[in-house]
Amino acid sequence: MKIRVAAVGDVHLGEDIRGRYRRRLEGIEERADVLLLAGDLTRHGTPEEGRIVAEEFRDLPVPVVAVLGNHDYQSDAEDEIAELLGDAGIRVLTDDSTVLDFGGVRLGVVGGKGFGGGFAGKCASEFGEPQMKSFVRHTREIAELWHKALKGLDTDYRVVLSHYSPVKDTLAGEPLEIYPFLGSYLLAEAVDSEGADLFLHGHAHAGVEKGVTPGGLRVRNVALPVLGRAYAVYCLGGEDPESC
Amino acid sequence: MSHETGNHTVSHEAASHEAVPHEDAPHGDAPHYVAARVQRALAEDERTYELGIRVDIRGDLLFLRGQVEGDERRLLVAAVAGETAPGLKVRNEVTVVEVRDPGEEETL
Repeated sequence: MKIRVAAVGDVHLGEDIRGRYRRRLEGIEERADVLLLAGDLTRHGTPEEGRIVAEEFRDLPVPVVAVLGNHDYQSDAEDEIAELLGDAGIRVLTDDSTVLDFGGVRLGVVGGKGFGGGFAGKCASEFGEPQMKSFVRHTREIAELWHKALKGLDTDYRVVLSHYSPVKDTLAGEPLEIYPFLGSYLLAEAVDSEGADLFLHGHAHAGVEKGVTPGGLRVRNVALPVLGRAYAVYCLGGEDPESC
Repeated sequence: MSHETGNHTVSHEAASHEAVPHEDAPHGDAPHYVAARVQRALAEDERTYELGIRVDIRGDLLFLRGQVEGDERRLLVAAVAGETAPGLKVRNEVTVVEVRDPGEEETL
């Protein structure tokens, strides 16, 4: 059996566009089995915007799993936002995993916000000032948690959900100078070492949709400005496309 | 890129302020810094919080390019940019993200 994964990130909801996204989710159960949200669900990261997100994505006919993004941290209310989403039935990943069962076929989703640092050979190191060490350590610790979460996940399919990117491929179109703030190869390395079926991220509005990790894992940038459509749908289990 | 035209793109380092004669303009008002201030304001002003807007200065014109999620946000981007660089005329080329139906799925 196949699993159809719908995904979008960077919807940046706020009072001015309240309710506008919800109508685009009509009929999602015909197209997908699950909806994954790749962070930056709000613009200011306030609890008020968190409530708007909760209203927009609650009570859908498919399960919803989300991670937060940097905008969702802007007002230091990320825990409250996660709680509001949780109360609305949305599973928010914070460097952990969840398992969904679709008629006996199990989908594991691992992830969290992720973070930056840059890409192999052109990245920051845990060296020098405490601020620089802290910056890189944050990403390393996240990567270690994802590695651990994947290691313990015995499911038919495994998807990694992040806000930040694991590769440069999907950043094409963004200024080279800001790549270290858009993602880190440490995220890809952690996932490649355990294996997964798909890596989804957002954050890079000017990037492109498709990329691949050094280990051959498919990466998709699902930031709304990149997709230009309400959400993308990826069908896992591609050996029999007719059944998707 | 010459000082006389005041041309500048914030993401390009080519417009070195070292080429600006001291008697013509203080370094702090070089288009390089004005564009950087505008881009920083767009990212940090709570009315916008927009990190992906490109800012270009050409003479007395300030061009804004990028995408936002709604009409109101598009107008706010121009307002914040205009306040940050009051001597420049804002050319707002920011567009609102177009969201189509989900479309075809991809089989992996």
